[in-house]
Amino acid sequence: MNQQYNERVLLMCRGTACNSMGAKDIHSHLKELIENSELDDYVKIKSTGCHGFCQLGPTIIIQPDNILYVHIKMKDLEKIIEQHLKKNQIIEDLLYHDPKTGKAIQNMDNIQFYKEQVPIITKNCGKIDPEDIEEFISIGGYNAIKKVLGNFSPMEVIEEIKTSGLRGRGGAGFPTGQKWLLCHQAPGEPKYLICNGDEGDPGAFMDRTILESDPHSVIEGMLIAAYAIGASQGFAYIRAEYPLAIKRFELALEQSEKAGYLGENILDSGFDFTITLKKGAGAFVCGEETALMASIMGERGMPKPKPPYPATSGLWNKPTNINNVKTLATVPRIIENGHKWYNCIGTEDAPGTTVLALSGKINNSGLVELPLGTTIEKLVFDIGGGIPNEKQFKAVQTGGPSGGCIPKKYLDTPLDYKHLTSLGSIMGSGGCIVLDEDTCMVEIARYFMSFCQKESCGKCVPCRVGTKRMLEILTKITEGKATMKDLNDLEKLAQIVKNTSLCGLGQTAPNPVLTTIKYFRKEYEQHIKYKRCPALVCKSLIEYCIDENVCTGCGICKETCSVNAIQGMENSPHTINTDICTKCGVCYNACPNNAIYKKTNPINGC
Amino acid sequence: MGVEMEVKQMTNEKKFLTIDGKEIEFYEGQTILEVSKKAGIYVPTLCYLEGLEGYGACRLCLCKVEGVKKFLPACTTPAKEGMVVTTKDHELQEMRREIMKLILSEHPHSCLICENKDECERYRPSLQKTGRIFGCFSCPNKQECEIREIMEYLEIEDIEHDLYYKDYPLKREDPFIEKDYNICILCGRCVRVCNELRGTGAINFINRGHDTKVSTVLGLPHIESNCQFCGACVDVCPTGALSSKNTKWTTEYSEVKSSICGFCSVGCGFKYYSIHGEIVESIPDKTNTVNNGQACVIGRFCTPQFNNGKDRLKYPAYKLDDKHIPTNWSTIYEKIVKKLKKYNPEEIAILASPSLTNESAFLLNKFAHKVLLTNNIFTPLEENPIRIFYKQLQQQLNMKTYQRSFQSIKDSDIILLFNSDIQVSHPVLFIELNKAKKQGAKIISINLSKYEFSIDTKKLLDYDLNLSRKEMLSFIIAFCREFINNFEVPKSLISNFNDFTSWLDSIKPHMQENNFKEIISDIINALKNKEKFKGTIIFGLLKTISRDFIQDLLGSLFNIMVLTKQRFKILPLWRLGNCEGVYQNIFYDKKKDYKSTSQILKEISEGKIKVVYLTERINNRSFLDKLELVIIQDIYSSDDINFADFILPACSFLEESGSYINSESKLQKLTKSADEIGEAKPDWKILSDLACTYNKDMCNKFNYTDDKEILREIKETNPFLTEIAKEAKNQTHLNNQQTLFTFNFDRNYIRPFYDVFTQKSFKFRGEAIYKKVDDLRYLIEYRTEKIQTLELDKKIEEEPIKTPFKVIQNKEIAPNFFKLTIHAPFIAKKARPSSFIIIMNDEKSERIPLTLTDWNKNKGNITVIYQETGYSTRELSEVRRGEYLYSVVGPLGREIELKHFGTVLLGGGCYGIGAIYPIARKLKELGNRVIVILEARNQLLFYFEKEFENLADEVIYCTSDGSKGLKGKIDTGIKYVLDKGIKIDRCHFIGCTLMEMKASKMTEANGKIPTFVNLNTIMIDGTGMCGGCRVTLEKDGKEITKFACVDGPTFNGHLVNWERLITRGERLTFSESKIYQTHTCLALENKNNLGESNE
Repeated sequence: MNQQYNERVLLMCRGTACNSMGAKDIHSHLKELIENSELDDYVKIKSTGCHGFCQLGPTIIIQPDNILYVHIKMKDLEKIIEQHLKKNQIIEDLLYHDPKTGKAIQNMDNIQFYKEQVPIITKNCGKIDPEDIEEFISIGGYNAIKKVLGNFSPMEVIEEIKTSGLRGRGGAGFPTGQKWLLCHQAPGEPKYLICNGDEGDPGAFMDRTILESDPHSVIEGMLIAAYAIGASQGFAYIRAEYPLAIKRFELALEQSEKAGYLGENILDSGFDFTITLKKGAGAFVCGEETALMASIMGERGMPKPKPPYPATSGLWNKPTNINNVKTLATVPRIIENGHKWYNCIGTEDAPGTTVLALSGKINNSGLVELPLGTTIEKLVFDIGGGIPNEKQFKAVQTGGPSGGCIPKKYLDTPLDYKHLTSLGSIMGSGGCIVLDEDTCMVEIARYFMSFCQKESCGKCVPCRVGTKRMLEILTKITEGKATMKDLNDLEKLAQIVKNTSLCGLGQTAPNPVLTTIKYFRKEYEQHIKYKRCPALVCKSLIEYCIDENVCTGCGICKETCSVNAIQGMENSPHTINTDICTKCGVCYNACPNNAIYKKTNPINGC
Repeated sequence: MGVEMEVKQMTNEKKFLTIDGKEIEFYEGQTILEVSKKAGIYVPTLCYLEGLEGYGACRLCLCKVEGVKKFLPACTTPAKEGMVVTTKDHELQEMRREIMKLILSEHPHSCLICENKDECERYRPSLQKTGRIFGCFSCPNKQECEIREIMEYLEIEDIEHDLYYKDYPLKREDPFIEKDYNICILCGRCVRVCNELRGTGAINFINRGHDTKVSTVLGLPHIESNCQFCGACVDVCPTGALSSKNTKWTTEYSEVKSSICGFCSVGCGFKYYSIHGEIVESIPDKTNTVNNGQACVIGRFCTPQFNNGKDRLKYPAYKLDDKHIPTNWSTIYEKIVKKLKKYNPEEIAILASPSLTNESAFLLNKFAHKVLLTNNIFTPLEENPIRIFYKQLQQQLNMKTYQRSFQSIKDSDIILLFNSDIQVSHPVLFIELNKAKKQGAKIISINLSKYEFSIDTKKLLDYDLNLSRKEMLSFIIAFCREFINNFEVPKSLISNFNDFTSWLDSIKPHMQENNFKEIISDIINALKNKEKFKGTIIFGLLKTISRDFIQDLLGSLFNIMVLTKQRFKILPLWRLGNCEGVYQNIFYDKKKDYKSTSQILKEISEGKIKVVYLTERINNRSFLDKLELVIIQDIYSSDDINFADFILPACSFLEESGSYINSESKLQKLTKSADEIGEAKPDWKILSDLACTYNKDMCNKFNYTDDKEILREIKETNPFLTEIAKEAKNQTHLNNQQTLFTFNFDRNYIRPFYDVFTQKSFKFRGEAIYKKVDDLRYLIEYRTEKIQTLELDKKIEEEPIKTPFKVIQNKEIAPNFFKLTIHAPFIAKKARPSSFIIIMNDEKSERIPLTLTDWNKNKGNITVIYQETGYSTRELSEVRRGEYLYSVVGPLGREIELKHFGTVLLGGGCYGIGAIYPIARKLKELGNRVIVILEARNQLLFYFEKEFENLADEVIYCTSDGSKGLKGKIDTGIKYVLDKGIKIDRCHFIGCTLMEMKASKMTEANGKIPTFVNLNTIMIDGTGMCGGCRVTLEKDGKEITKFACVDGPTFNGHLVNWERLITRGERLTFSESKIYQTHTCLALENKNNLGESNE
């Protein structure tokens, strides 16, 4: 007699992050185990997109129990089958533990990280199999396009999006409906639609996740947009560094074409639309819309000044509409639920939600979707779970490498376009990097400047030369070679680059510098005046020392030192010869007694 | 066409915007910059280029627009009704200054901000032909510098940023063009002109961020890329990053003349620059509407070399015992006349060169008919197509000529290229083709048999058909058939329409016709969709084709013109300079029965014609050997000129005024831009003088004072010239009775004489241009035969010159400064401070005097520091380690007195930093206190800093831009020392003449401190014989003459007559500036001696 088991669905995350932690093997092994057991008829295993909590991967959600298992390893699989699936016993060890209380949380909805989120864009992410169109359709996918083609004129669609207040989620926050209207009204045929999936910010993975987890929503959004502006040809520009996203999007294109959602005469409405996938070659600047279009046309990805805007003269000088992945994924939801529903979420100025990639010195790093207007404090401390290792919060950098750093005193700032801009930062694409007390703000500014400088396309002078000059000054400061005049020059230069650069890359590149000077000027001044790095980061300004009172003379540090800078007899305190020391920091990490410490010049300079 | 354009602009309602408070009218589509420019408002810009789309990269043209938060670039922002623009205010100017400073932080700017710049320029004794450009003094764009203009406009006096030197290697491997990307400001003009306008796309940006640079694919030399060497990139470069090799360092031009290039039938406008009557540079004229500032490799780069070639005929000469004896004009005229009179008129023939001016051609014809009384006047085969073209035009369209223009190419909707590869035959017109393509024209090429187009052309072609002659004709027939079926044809105007249709029906559709069906219906559909289509049929002469085929082809093409009511127009492209003009001026009299060229050649070989008067060379010896008397009136001499009995040196198109007719049938004026070479005279002058000598009665008929008189006479007598002089205004001959052309489709054509037109076919007066221009020959041969430079190198390596002077090291230690160590034990043994040596790189090279910097008696090595500053030092810089120098002589120079003086002040600049070093070392050994001042334009140009800092008691740095030490020149350094109150007992300075002069004057004024300088004079033998190094010293009011090589090089600085020294230094400037033009490539010469196949 077969025993009766509870019917369950296992949602196995197969996003890039979990895959890289071994989710592929775990998935196939688990499938094998289930197929070979008597559970076969009761338990279904589904590979889904990202669950958002990338830090804890690989993860499995067990439904309907609503239980999240984290950090799953091969050896845990037997346990899951035997204990959970067969005996309905929850495995405490695999549950998520709250970083503050240390308690295990059983129901996923009680996890702070998920509790506060409002999934609209990421509604389907982690819940459906992205490689199966049927699943998407079964939960109401492609209903929005059916609704549009059946009931709406293009102008009505535009009106609906306009009144919903949706703003571009790519960074600049231009009203989407307005953008469509401009393109709709622009003279010239044919018109083109582009989906911008060239997510180049380091540490950002929102677009990737959506493309990997829910590609059909993006396609549906593109269909609606194309219908509204009158385009029959679309391009999806996805960076080549996202192989999984490309694979799934290609598959989705194939499936939706087969199902009649793409191609000629879609759903017998007379509306034609095709999508061509273009792979970006990994240039950060190609996320800028005019550079992206140049890249599609086979030219070097360099931006063009606006006006003329793409809406009137874009691809091959024809009217072109270009939207971010997140924007397009939002569109079907608005059509389904109506603009009034959307208006109620977020703020009056910026309705809706935004997807953020939370990373840096934070307990819960991962992907979160929040209504606009949520405060930074809530993001960092409630959803993010605060700073690890009991360190102090120092700043949060929003909007990718060209966003500004927001200090502690503005923690109550709501996250939206208006407020972030007023602080000198940007909403950007949604990257959020949390910095703790061990971060040197000058070094962080230097780091981001070196990124932007390298990624400049080289076209306009302020961005190509200005950022290089800024980087030179920042390097001088971190090396303790700068004067106060350099700081003034840096500020002046930053302002010039911001005001005169051709595209968004150059215009925002000085943000990290300007905001750090604004909020952490003292730290700059200490670097310059006293040759002191208070966060003990800048190599030229620190020294490694051994505390005689703590050192046991174990000799581990001596062994690790590659330049033989450490001397000392066994069992007696060691010393570091600072003339030889290269400040690599290996001994610092190796010391079992924490006897090695870093020091920098004191404030008065003696 | 013109009328339509006007109408289009008229219908545009007037729109206005406000710029800087002024209300200005504009047309839709104009940018703010264009509107401002037209209104005379200056907005600075470095990346904008007229004729190209705005780019917005340099950010100098940023403006404020009311209601827009951001600053907008004027060059890309379209003007809008009611816009309020501010182009200049304090904030904008300040911003521009900062941007300009950023640009200049990567471009040598010491000369722009140096306080002494005016003085420096005035006293610079010779050209600085340095490889790397480190200031205006060595910049090819020095004379017209846009950067300097903007600097002055923005009133920038100082640049806070340190100069960032990119240290890219120099690119000198290509013919014609030299590149130094260290000074490139990445304005992108070259890239855009190459890609957008020329349609070549040989260069583009590579890399990202700060490493962005302009390059060909994979950084290959241009010769291995798609580059056509049109020079457009060089002409638009606002810096000296791209420069013409030949004229990189010319001195200031003494004259500029606008004239026409006579090498092909496009007739591009050029500005010819000359020095002392000699052409040194040709730059396309932006104001000329034929080429709009564009050129091809021949017009742009080959003109000066071709015109100044060393084989130019200079004196009239006659043959005596197989030798040519130069003589004067009157003697030669008499000798010629005496000989000519021995022959009957029918025994004499005259060859008219297609490169003659209209005036000369007219006189040649007159000379034949009126003086020699012969009808035997002919041209090289070129005239056949022209003759047929005008015959058919008259017969079929009842017109003498019609308005046709190169501009019409770009306005066409359909372009049919018959037998033409414009990029090869008429490169400048390729731009128009490229423009047409951009505006959506369909381009179809129909070529005889296989023809391989370049990639650029292939990109433009919608269809590329390689057909036989029959197929080509049936293509046209098929098109006519389709056209008649689909369109309304003005039957009433066509006298033989019915005959024509029945003729069409009689021709069975050719086998191939099905193959074109698709193409033809494509064309027909394209025409149907256009309400007012324009078509151009370009008739080219890529190959020489037989006469009867040209007749049928042109006749058929004219049929298209008739059927389409001239919406399709034929644009014939002739080959050489004045083909059409020479034809029209010789064969205009339709009553006379001219023999064809082949008929004349036949008569020569039959011995009926015994004398020819050539105005250009015939390469076919078999005809010439049959002749009894050959008179040649030409510009170039060559090995086979021996056949000529009389030589008359003529002028090139640059050396005379007159007129040409180009392929548009446009009369173009030539301006005399250069002096005649030797005794050469314009052709018409020679002819009229000869006529007068021949027959005194003719004197008044051939009495012309200038070419204008002849042109007046031509216009009176020649109906064609009268026609085109009217510029074919109001030509609507549509009401003429027209005829369609039919022919015997089944006839067999004579096999064509197979001759493909290539770059080698460009000729002037029968002389192939590539033969006289090394770089062009190299280019053509490299691309056709792929001779690799490596092979040439190998040859040299096989036979190394074995001399004792082995190069131990030759290394660039600072931009343009090289440290050369040579093994020369005898010199090392005898070297003393201030000694110099003379180096010869190879047996033909110049002798270079260089001061010793270091020597090692034990190893037997000597070291010199030299600056690459001219042709010879450039050659020297290319010598590699392990190679041998031809000769090293030394140590030369008088020993200087060095002892314990007390405190000694030494100064070094440029090469002098190295030269002063051994003196400093010796003085220090002798117990002196040594203070050293080092001077350079920028800190990057210093070397030996460590050595001096270890040696001297104090080292003071002076830089023009203040990048290291004091800001200023040597005098700033001396002042600094004196101000400190240090008592100086003796001074010694080595550097450029200006620096030494300044220093000497300074020490003289400050207590006459004994001062010595090493003079760098022109030096040849180094033994006091040649006198080149003469120096004048003034002592107690008396002039003393000394020779630097034996009496110096060290002299008392207070006695030197500096003014005279500087004037002497300037002597070499002109010949030095021309060295690249006159230099012949030895490697190529050797190769050709091994046996060059004649054409």
